[in-house]
Amino acid sequence: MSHLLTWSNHCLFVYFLATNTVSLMLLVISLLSSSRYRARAGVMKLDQVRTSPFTPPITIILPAHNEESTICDSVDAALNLDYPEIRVVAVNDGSIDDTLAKLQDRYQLRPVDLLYVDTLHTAPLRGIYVSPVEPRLVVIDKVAGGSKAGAINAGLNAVTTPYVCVVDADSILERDALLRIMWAIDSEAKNVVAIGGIVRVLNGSILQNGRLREVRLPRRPIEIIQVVEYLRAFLIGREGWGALNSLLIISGAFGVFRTDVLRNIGGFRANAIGEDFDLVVRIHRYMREQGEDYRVAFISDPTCWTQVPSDFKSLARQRARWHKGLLDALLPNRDMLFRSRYGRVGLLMLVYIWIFELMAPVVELIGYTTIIAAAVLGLLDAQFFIAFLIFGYAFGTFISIGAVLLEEFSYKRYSAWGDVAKLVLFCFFEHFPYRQLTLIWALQGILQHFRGDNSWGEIKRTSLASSSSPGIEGIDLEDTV
Amino acid sequence: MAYGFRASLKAVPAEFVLHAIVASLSSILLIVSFILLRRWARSRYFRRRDMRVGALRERWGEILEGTYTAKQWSSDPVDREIIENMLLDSTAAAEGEELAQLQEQLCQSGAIQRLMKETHKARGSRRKAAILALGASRIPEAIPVLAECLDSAHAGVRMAAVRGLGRIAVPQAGLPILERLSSGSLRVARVPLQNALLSCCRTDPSLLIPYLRAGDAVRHQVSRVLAELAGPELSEELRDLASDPHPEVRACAARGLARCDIQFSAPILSELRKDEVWFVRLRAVVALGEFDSNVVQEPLILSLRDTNRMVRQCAASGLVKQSRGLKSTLRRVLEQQDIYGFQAMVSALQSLHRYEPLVRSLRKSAYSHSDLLLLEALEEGRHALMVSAKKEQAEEVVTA
Repeated sequence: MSHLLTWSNHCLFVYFLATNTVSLMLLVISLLSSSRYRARAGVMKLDQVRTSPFTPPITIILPAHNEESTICDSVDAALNLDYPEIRVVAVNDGSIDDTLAKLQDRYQLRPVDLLYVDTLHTAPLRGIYVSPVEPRLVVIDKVAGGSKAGAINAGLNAVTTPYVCVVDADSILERDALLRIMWAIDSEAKNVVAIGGIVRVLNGSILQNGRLREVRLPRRPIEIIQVVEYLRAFLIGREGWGALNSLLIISGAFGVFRTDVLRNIGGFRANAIGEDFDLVVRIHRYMREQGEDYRVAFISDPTCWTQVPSDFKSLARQRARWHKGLLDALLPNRDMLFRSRYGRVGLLMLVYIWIFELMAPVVELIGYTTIIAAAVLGLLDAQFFIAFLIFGYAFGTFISIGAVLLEEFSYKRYSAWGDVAKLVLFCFFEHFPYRQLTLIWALQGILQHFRGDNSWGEIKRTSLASSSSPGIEGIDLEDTV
Repeated sequence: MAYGFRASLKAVPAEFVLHAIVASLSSILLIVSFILLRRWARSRYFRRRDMRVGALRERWGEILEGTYTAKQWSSDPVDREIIENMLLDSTAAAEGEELAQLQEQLCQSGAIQRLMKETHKARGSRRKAAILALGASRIPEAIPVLAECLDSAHAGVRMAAVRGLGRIAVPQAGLPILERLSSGSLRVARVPLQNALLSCCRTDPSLLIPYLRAGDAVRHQVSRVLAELAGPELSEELRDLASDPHPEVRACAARGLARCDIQFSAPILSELRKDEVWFVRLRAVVALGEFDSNVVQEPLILSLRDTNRMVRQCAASGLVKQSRGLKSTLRRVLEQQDIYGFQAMVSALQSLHRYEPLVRSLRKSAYSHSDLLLLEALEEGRHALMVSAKKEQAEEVVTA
């Protein structure tokens, strides 16, 4: 028993060191990569993308399920984007609230019978609508298919442009986000098949007419800690892996894809829970199998602002779903593991995600149990145990503050001194007790997956305007996707 | 392995962890201090800079006339940076005398010489910024310097040089790009290259013509630019491109022909709409649809029977956008007895908001047999589309 505990603790020590070494490495790579990007962005001429006849048109797909409070703001924001040729396809995925009615009212929608071929099979359509006041908008009304992936596929069937941008209906893009994305695609010598931008927390900021007027930190601690978490995930994780050309995740809230590639891989997997991760893995698989030179990229300043859960119940459901989605995407693609055919995706990234992302909550749980057991049995020096915990906490906090540094160094969206002070302060809570909570939620997600519970769960939503304007309470909606 | 762990744990734990804690806490302290100091320094710098920008804007006239001489303002590094940026920004839109005035100030301040030096000597992003700034100055002397950078081994430098030459926007600046492109020595991303050629050759698209005899990849890039610039004066070249063996080039020719005289373009586009490659047919049909004339109706009606759905849809949109003879067009489409084509027409009528007015007008005047037939067909076509949208594959609906 004592041997087993000691051996287990040794393994955990190595695991812990490996995780932190990777985090440190990613922080350094991200600092270098973002400073390079900043230098490039300094000479970026967006006007050239705006006026060039070679800039391809883009269709924005907005899947919406019970989004009556946010849908009009999101469609307005999409239509007001600064880009030469935009089409917007909003998909009402069997909402039981007034999502469709709000759209009908706002855009004077009229039912039409357009040629629509169900190339990517989805739940049946109930109707297609166009707007006489906004010719760039098409609204597809379909029976609820039980997943966001099905709704995106329905939108994809109506796309005729070479690029497609998928945006969550509770998110808004910054006005020049697509210009920046296209500038990055155009400047890349390799064939960019998918590209993601940074997703930031909208809660607390001030929104006006579908546009962000002022960036502010939210008030609730649960929202602020998610700001730190998003900064770390995007500015260190995505930036770092993107620089190594090993990106496996493009956020479902904001991603641009080549339409033909999406169609060739059969669109989003209809029953996928983590449809964004699943899609990118399948894109890698397809492109590698075709033997094509390609790139899945991340660019850190076209920003998408999204609403994050503002209560523990919704956050717990979201995090359980994310982990369930991770497992749901990794299992069908396990044949890519350790296969040289899939390059660094199969040999490095998927292995990393299996060990350090998917298994992390399990390993951590085992770790806490065995360390406590070893301490109780007197197999572990109490002083060492406490020192080890302090080191883990301090190192994790250092990485989180590193994300705030990156934000300050490169993008500086939070201009108020108070906001930065709060961000730094909340970095100290990210690794205790927030991390332990996310660990429990992730474990719940794993259990739900093995129980066969693949529902999305309910997330409380408020209108974008009210969630973003401090001091105004929005209408709570139960969002069951 | 277990021995290794045990040994490492004996050696490592206390000391290592203690050092690690100290290192982590010191790093946290350092980062926080750095963030605070940087914020303070930046806010001070930008406050000062903003004040200077305001003050220098007020003296803009004097700067341009040279009464506030370059020698005076270039002695202060902050003023120099601000004014040089203002001058470079202004050159982008300036022409004639104003441009000469701006360029003279840049030369007198020593900015051009410095940029030229940095183009050769500097490294990394500083070198690229210098190349782009030199291009933004639009000084003809910059062309050979930037042309040299096209031969750099570094992809970023080549890209900056292409962009820089594009900013100069004169035909002479396009020549080094075209020469290297045709010799195969220039490898940069497609779109920035085409943008640069577009701005350089805008005043003289004929500059591109000799390069249309190059290899497939070059011919495609050059013809794509030509398609955006060509007018009736280059219609003969476009005719030649329309019979090019490379489909991308034929598609570009179709694109360019939309800007030529209809009597010249229509027969060529009518041929291209029968091309074996779908995207060439698509481009030809889009180009035909851009003309508002009876001449294009027949080829567009024939394209409604195309095997490709996108081509059918574009042909239908082109027909619906025609200002005259919508009813007679629809009758002609009905005569074709092709349900795919008719569905495409109904779909285009709906999306362009012409379905309801047409049905209303037919209902009002449905005295003739042909009008009644058309009305029925439209209702049926709409119904078929409705069924297809509500689930079944379009093909199944058609066979039913």
